[in-house]
Amino acid sequence: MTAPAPDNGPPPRLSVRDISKSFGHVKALTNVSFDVMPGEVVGLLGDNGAGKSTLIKTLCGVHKPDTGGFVWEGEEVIFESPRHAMATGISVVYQDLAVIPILSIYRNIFLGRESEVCRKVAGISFMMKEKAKEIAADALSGLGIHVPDVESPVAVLSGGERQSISLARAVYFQHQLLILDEPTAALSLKETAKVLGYVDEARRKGASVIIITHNLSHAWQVSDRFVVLYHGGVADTVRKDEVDLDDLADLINTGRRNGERGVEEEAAA
Amino acid sequence: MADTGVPVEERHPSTAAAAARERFGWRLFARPESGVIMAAVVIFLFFAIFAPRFLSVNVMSNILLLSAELGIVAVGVTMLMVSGEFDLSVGSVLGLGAGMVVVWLNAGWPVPLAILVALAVAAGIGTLNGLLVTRMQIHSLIVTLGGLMFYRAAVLAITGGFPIRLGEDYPFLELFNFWWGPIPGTFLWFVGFIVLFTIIITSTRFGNWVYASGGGREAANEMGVPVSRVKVLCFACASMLAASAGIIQMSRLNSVDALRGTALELEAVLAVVVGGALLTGGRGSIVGAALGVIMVSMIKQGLILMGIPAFWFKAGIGVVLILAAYINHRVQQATLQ
Repeated sequence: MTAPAPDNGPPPRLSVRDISKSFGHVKALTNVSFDVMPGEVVGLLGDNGAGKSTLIKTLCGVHKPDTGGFVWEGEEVIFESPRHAMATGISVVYQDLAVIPILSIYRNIFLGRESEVCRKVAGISFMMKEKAKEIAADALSGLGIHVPDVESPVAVLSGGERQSISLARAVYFQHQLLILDEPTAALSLKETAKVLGYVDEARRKGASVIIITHNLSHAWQVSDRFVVLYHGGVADTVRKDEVDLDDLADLINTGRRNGERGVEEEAAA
Repeated sequence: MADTGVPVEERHPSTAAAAARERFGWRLFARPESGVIMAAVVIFLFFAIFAPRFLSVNVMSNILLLSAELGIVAVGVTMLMVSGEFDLSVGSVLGLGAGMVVVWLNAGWPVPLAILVALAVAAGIGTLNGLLVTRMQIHSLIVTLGGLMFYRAAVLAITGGFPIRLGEDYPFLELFNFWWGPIPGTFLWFVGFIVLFTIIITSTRFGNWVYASGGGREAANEMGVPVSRVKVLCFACASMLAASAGIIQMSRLNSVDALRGTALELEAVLAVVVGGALLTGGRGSIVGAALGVIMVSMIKQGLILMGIPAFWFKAGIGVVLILAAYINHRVQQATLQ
């Protein structure tokens, strides 16, 4: 085990330990390991098919890894379900947004987090709908998002607005790790700046963030460190002050930094 | 839009009010029940004018009586359809529920025990349906079509194909078979179930999960909704409500026969769709389904009073179903844009 040298800093919020995952004959992830520290923003980079989505889905309990596991604040854990990951303190903005167009905005915001506005009577959780609507409206306007009516279905909103709903519910509720999967994909420049602002704010509040994006300059703006995936494995883990944008682009495209020999070439030599 | 810091209402008082009015109208229009309310009123007025004695107390009582048992089944089918699934076995399970209780009462079981065990069996049937659908990934139409056949065969087996009467009067069954003035007790049970399940589906965490499971299975799962468990519970509710309707009907008729509940599953689906539910899930209303059931009963009664041959009932219902599905589709398109 190549554990980081023991210093007096806090333990990682999340350690990913040797995660592998296959689908049939396709190896999606091979021995992926990295740490995320409290208050750190990690940019998870990689080309299409590098394994980013699969990795994220194991982190939020949608897939279970074949081998390996996680250490959450010092304790070993396997996320059994999205519910479990959420209860542990992980908030996710999915690339597909995970909103339900036919349901109202406020019901989407409390989806899976109904307990925040529930009153238990005789063991049954009743949603306090008026309170839920108020909180939903607050959460949205707090992020500078304006919707006409939290009771309208999400289907009436634009792509960018839907993304905002998905983001608003992830950042509004208490969490220690925020995972953003392509959060700027459907956004305008102004909206993008806002999203990157939330990432900064989450870090200031001590939350950890993993941000996945195709857009290198967005990743560069907010990340402290980068984990680059290449063909299902970790090509490299680098601090921002160790590299420049070109190095990152090389890592993503070839799995190695310019001038370095790749893993395959070394094996061949 | 530039934010001037001035509330919208102060900038354009008239347009703000118009927008609010429009939103109010939109919400009214967007409710799943709006279509069926209009349809029920039209059908009521039609028969009030053209069917002799339609407005008498007797006829109204009869409509309520006809509605109650189908209605209780429809409540469960609505829940299930909102969660995105079907149940074609409810008619057979209704017959089975009634059959089990009659046979066990004639064998000397205490009434409450016979009823509780029958409901437990129904819950088991629903759970099995749900597990087959969620674990084995067989479409619910197929699973419950199999169930329709299987449980009908079970009813035939326990009745031997003949009507069976209760051997004696059971005072306990008066709980289901009584009249409150012109209102049949079975209808009051129906209303009770409507209220109970409307509260569950609109105001509880579980209700939110039911709508979410039907409206977007993947998204619901990603957000931590236990979709499979929700669906299994909805299947169990549908089967238990069907068996309850069978038991309530049995207390009224004091008997069971092998064909009890036949074709009821389709009438229930019809009422639920007419009541504003989407076959694909995520949308639907128990009050709407109840109005759909009452509408079906009004058509049945009205045609008889007008002396129109009974087979036209099916033709009329068929037309109403297709019209309702079309209206629902249009309303949905209009509100989701």
